[in-house]
Amino acid sequence: MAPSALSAADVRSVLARAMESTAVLAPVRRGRSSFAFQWIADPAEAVFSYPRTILPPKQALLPPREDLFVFQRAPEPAVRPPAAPDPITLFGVHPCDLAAIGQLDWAMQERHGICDPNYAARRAHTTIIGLECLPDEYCFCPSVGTAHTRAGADLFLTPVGEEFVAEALTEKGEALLASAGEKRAPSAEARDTWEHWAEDKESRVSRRLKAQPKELPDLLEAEYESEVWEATAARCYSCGTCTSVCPTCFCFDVEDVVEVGLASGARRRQYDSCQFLEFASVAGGHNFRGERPDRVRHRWFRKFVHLNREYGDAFCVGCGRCTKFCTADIGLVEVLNSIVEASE
Amino acid sequence: MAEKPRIAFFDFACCEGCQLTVLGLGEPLLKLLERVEVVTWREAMSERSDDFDIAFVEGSITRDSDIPRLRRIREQAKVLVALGTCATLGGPHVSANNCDRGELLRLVYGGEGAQFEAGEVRPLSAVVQVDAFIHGCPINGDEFLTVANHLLLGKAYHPPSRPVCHECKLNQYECVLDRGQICLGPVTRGGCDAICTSRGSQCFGCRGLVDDPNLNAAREVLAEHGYTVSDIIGMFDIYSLRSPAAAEARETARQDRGAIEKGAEPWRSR
Ligand code: SF4
Ligand code: SF4
Ligand code: SF4
Ligand code: SF4
Ligand code: SF4
Repeated sequence: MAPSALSAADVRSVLARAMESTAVLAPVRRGRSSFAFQWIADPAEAVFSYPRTILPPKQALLPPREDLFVFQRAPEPAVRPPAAPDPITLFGVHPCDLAAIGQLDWAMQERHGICDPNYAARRAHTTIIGLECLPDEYCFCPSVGTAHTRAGADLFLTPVGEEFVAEALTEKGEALLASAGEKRAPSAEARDTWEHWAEDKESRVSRRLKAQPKELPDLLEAEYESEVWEATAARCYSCGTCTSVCPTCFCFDVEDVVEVGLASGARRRQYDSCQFLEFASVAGGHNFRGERPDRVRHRWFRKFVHLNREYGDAFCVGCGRCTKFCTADIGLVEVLNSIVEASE
Repeated sequence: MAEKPRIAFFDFACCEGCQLTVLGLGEPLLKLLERVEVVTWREAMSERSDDFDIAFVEGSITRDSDIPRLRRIREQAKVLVALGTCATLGGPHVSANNCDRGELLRLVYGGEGAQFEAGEVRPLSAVVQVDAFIHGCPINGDEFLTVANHLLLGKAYHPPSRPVCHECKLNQYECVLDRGQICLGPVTRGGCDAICTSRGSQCFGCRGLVDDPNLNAAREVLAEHGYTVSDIIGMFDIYSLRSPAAAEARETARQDRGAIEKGAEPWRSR
């Protein structure tokens, strides 16, 4: 499909169109200098340029807290699945986050041959409008091959000057694009910028992994006893920020909660984190990773050894959130690179 | 229908804000009241009884003359719950332990100070065994309901040991450290849904430290943010988080967690 040109006003009318039939999650300003994905009430709330949000769009597909089903005792005992989810549109999804949704789809719908029905129900009614971006000092998408991801998007926008170059990638995307009115071809200049975006993007990235994702499982395993884990743990709070904000982390905890009147309850799922002290506690009180360095190491091993082998690629899309939002300034790439250097 | 468990509320040195949080719960409180009989609650009613099963005790112990009263409550109660940070860790006034007591009395009461009995501020667990801990200054009302519900169902309640930062991030609040405010969220036990940072304030550590706080990291990181040793100590001293008493109370709380696991409906074990 030939790309077309959209003005900012056109993009807002695409958003307005999406809002007629779906809930729309879009990046908005948060606080003094942060951004967050939020369900918007007005297309004007969405921002078109942002470095990264605190939580990734994952929150719409795998919410931080959700009830998997609800049960009641009275008037008669019953178990009910949650209400069918509303159709949703994710707006402004950067290429790394598109790639992350692809990884999450595998983890939640295909891994071990198990499909999570709550996730699948939301995912089946999701429309995605991607948005191209330029990296800041935390991004390392080229190192994990996600910088130019389009897969997963129905419509993809590249901001070129005051305008956008739009590519409809699916029928849904076509329909959204049509809502902006008569198609216009981008100017020759806009087209030129658009065509060179990938190179420009790559050239701006400053953080780089010193190894290929494929090499990491063996490299890391050889450094299982490395002092890097201890040194990193000395700075780490085990706060779980790095995993909550990660678009590819999917660990959760499940608990049955009963309301205080005992009439009803729910099986509740919420984000868990391998960094929490009690994450690997089991019945009888044993904790497999009661020591902080073991938990720290686990995060890197999970993403770059275990899931890397199982999925066939690093389970990380280079979005930089874990590093940007770590209150202790622990760098994911820095730790990996120090392992790579130690093994050289 | 079996007899309802008899509940009593007591307070020692505190502001009664935690009891007020319970009173302010609205409809869920009414539902809870259908399952229990409240027999003593000075803040809420005039009737009282010494025959109770579960005691919710607010406040810290500051006078030796309080000790016999707390021991009597302990002897009567099948389950004793420490309600709020005053009771679990000492509360904000635990910082008085860092000052000269006589001088403090003069400062607050002038010449009248000498007539008051005021000693070391201690959490309940320094005096009696505590079966369950509800941290927070004030407590989080939902957590109170959860603990009450667990007790009534005979389930153990483990106060979460995940830092406030976790809840702060799940709510997508901007980190106040980035705005030049000193924050104890990384080492403070969550469960409050990061209510302070939601309003742009910092976390003062009112719920006490997590089970394995990385205090060295906190010192190092806060120093890198430009805070001096006295800034950092000042923050930690609001709830006296560095004191040996706080460390001991934390350890007791950690070891005691699960104490109520012993009997399915502990108030019936008499
Ligand atoms: S965000 Fe940083 S401090 Fe918190 S658990 Fe992750 S690495 Fe540790
Ligand atoms: S590990 Fe870090 S950089 Fe990689 S996807 Fe997760 S948050 Fe992004
Ligand atoms: S913990 Fe705080 S709110 Fe509760 S009684 Fe003590 S001082 Fe008041
Ligand atoms: S504001 Fe405080 S609690 Fe929130 S992330 Fe920052 S340090 Fe943690
Ligand atoms: S944010 Fe910190 S000070 Fe505020 S209620 Fe929570 S634990 Fe207490």
